[in-house]
Amino acid sequence: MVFNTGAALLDAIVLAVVSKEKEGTYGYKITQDVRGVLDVSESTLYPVLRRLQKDDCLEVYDKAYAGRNRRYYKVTEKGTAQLNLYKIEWKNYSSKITRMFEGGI
Amino acid sequence: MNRVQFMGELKNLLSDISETERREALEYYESYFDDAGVENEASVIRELGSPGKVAAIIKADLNSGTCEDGEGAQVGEHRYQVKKKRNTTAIVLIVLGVLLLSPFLIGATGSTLGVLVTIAFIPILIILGLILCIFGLLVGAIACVAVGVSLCFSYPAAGILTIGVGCFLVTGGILSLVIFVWFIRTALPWIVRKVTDLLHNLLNKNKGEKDGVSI
Repeated sequence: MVFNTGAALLDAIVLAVVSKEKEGTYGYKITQDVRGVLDVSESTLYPVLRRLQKDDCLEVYDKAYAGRNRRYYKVTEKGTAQLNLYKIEWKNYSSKITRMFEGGI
Repeated sequence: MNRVQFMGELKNLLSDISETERREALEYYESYFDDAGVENEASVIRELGSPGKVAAIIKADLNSGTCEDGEGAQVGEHRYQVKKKRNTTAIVLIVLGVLLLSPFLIGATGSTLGVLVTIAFIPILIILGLILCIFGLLVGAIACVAVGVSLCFSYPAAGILTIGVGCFLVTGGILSLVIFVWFIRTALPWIVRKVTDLLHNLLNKNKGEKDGVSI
């Protein structure tokens, strides 16, 4: 992509992807989902998930799957609030840019 | 490189971070490989790049995100402020360093300037040299031919030899002229362009890598 994706936007996208799954989702799937819309390197997402977890925006739990423990990520209440804030910010930001591109100021 | 080698190397590279962080990261990537499946192992390794790259990304984030913050709504902004604060410290350190090192810096700047000026003068010296060459050779040639013609009356052999030498000098002069024209029209603009590009690159080197996670 020609535009840089800043840390906040990446956080917002990951929160949005995780919040789609009510029961929570796991690292590999999150990466694939994010890569469906954004060309990020596979190694970019671990720090984002870890940070969101530390900031209490994501909670983790382990569940047995195929004879091993799989770590699931789920959006917390704080994470939901944060995501809503990001959504509002994004709407403001993107509509301003769109207006600018398509004529008036 | 296979999965086991990749994980082994990653473990080594993460040996200088805390036990908890290392375990978290290694578990994440172990289950990442498990979920990707054996059939995707090679492509995951290719996509991740080297263990060094993965480790560097993990550590970079640990260093920048160590702040624990309370208010959820401020996550992004808070991080931004921390980053700015560090920048101020860095600037203070740089200024102190420059002050301490200034005697050496002045010396170094002086000699660097000297070298640069000398380099800038090289093309001018070459042009001057070539002009002198052309004039010297052509004047020499005319003199030789004139002396040769007059010698022909008294000593024909010596006269013809001198005229011959004159002809050689004319060839040398024309050759220098050709080199001179080539230097002015082709070589000089090329050198100027290269030097300008180099300076331009040096000045703009740090721009463009400043904000955002480049993905």
